Amino acid sequence: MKSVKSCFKKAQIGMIEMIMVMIVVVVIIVIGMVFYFKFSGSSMEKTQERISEDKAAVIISSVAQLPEIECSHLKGRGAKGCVDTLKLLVLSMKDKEGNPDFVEHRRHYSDLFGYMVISVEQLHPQTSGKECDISIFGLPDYPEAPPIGCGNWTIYNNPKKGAGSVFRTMPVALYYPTNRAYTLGQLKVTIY
Amino acid sequence: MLKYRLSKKADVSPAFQYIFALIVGAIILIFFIKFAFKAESTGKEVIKAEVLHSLDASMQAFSVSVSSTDLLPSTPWPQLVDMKFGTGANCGKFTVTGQKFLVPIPRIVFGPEQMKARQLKAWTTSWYFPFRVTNIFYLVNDRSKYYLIFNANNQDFVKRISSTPPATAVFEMDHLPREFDVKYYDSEADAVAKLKINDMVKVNYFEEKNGVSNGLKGSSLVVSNYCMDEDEPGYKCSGTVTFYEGNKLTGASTFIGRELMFAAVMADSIGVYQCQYGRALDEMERMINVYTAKAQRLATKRQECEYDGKYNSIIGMLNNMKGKIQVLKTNPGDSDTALQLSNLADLINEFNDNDLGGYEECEVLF
Repeated sequence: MKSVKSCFKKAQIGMIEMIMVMIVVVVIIVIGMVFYFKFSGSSMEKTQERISEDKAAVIISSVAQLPEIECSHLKGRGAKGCVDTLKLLVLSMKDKEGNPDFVEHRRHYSDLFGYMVISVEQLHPQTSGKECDISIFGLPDYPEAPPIGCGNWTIYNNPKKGAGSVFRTMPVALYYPTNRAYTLGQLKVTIY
Repeated sequence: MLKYRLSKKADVSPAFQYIFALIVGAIILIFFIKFAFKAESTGKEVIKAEVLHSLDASMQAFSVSVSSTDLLPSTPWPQLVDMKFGTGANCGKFTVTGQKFLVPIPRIVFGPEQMKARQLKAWTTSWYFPFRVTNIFYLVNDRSKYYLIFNANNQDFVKRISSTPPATAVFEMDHLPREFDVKYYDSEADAVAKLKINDMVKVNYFEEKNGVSNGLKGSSLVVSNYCMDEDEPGYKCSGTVTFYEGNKLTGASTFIGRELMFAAVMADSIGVYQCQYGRALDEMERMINVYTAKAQRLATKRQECEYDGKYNSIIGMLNNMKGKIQVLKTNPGDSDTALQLSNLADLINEFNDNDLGGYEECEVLF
């Protein structure tokens, strides 16, 4: 009687031992994989952040020299770092303000820029900070002297909700062709 | 008896335990082997995806130059990449052989349609027509070779636009960069010899031809006299280009501006050239829209200038230019329209400089 019971017990204990060992091995493997993926995930996030920072620096330099906004009257190298406010006004026109050709512009720029917001702000002389648009441009006091009426142009607005972003600025000279005046501004780029 | 049977049960169970352990061990081993192979292939896919995106990023960084040459990317790719530039329905896109997805390249790029390289030689120059339109990019790898074939009538011009213009040239003309190693010869002999060691060899003639040697790619450019005169601005240069593969004619087109003349030299097929030419014309159209809108705004503010209808005149010329671009987009081989566009660009430039720039009350458009 005693030997029958002990045979059963030995076999059962043996089987249970085996199962426990397997469970422990699997748990160790799962923990190892969790750590591995966490580590590689965080290292990829760091790489992505570094790439975004580099990308932001490159993008802001290339935006400043787009023929669509640069001061073309200065020709070639002289145009570097100078932005034509009349071109900014043209590019920031809303679709309802009417040139249907500019709807096509935006499709082209979304291929070029993706998720980004690009704007220009006048720093000196200070302005009210209002967004410059065609209605303000039409006012008689725009800009007889360096303007106080408005000082912001949003030329590309395509943010990505819920995503992280990198923000960069770059000083630029702002040129007013209507009265041939130069002021100081900054180009602002937010990359998502 | 019972005791014997029971002791057999206890004896047999270790064998099942070993079998069980063997099976589980094999499953775990197979899992990790598969994981390792999957990680390796994912790594290769990541490299290919990085290639697709890093080339565009490199070109973006490079695009701030008015005219410059460089190696892209600055750090060579870890492995030889077999890349292809899309044509036709995939125009403006770029992929790596073996990849399913294509990445849009929002830049005007001319070069061989297919290239294998770890690093590419790149040249960019601003295209003025007559205002700055965009930067044009020219890409080439070490396994592609270009030649310029001259004759007695055009040897001076051909030598001056090659990668090694003669030191005795009195004036420097825009020419292909030294790094591209585009040599001039009076025959195709050297080009044919290079077929054995290069993936692509292209010969460019500056006269009418009916084909090139078998195995070679070729183009025959007929350029206007303005192209050969270094005193004339680049936008006055226009002409036609015919593409060949051996003695088979594959297509014909036009070019406007010296920068697009170089593009016709560097493009190895009509597909690449037409695709990028169309995109270049789209860019020009966009810039015309910007300047037209700018002129309209200036007309409202500079009324003492607009009294003579100057801004309206230039708006008319820009609209005319836009019309001709539409014609050229539909029929890129229309050499008359190409010539008219070049003449119009010259007219607009003169008007801008003299009729607007020459008067205190007027502001130049560009």
